[in-house]
Amino acid sequence: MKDPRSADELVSAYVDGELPPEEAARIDARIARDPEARAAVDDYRRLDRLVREFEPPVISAKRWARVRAAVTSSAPPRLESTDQVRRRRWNRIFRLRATAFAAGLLAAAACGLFAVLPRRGPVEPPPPPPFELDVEPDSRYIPQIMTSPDGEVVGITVLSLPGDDEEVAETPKKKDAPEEHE
Amino acid sequence: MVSGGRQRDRAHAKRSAELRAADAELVRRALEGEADAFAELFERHRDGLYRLAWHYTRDEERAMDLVQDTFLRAHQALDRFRHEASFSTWLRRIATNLAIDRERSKKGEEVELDEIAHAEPLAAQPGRAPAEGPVEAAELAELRRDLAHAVGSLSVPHRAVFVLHAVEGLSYREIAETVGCELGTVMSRLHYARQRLREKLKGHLTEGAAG
Repeated sequence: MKDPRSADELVSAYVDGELPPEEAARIDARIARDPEARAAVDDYRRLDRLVREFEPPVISAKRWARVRAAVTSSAPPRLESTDQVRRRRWNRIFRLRATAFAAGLLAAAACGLFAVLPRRGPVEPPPPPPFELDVEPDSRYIPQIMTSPDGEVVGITVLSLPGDDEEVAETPKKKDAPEEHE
Repeated sequence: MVSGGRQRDRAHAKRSAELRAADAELVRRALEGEADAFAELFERHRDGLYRLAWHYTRDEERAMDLVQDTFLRAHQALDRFRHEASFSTWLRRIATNLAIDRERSKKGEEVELDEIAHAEPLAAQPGRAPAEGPVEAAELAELRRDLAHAVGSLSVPHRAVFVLHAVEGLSYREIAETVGCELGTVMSRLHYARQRLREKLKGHLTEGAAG
């Protein structure tokens, strides 16, 4: 399997003394023949020294005392005694049991309610309003089936035949009625 | 040579274990309500934490804010300290996370670099020996400014890894523990940070080599 670490990473780890002896020996050999690797090793060591030399500004005793007071004035947590731990555990168990009991009660009440409530059948839709034809009295009507262009039945209507139709308008004459003369 | 090195390592490990045990005892006493115990923890770790915070922020005020907030958080969360790492590692982790959060919330602002560019020259700082002459003082001031610029140009995760290694002298494993990442990430971040710094401080490094 290929080592995921790059050759340069190994040089960096070599500077820090973090390589096992056999790997360190390989880097030793590389440094001896590769001036670039040698320069990198020297620079890494100088860099560490340089950073280490820079100490932060000194903090006065008075300031440290202020920070210490701020830090120690906050309330720290306290170690619980065995009794406290036991009590807390029992409290937790009690709360769990109480919750389970309450949930059981609720479930039982819901079941009871379901059993007691009267059951109703399925609700039927209201009947449609009676069909009324808007027709003229004393007329004759012929029912008509309405179809779409595809021949599908879409409704029913009536054909009204008003009195101007000769056949329809002809009403039977009374036998004893006198004839009209112009 | 080798046995001397091993003796030094053993002595260092012994000293670390003693410090860790003493910190653990102070934490226990602080949790039991002893007011002075946390104050003692503060005294033991404040300087190291301030140095780290200053290298993260490159600003005295911001560094002190970071120190104060770190101790406040540690104090409030003391009961959650599990002693899996040392107390100092825990403090460093809190400070590093706070620094990263602050940098993220400030992203886009150019204040930081401007402030770094006008940083107080090293020779003028209290507690430091003045440079030999005006030329040396000016050179030192220039080096400080360039170094601050170069380190400030790194993102906080890269800066943190570099500072924890170069200034605090932590091993890769300790850095991984502090920052909360893999060993390979520490190695690649450190290498990237060094390459960037080397590029930006080329002139100073060559002069240093010549001198």
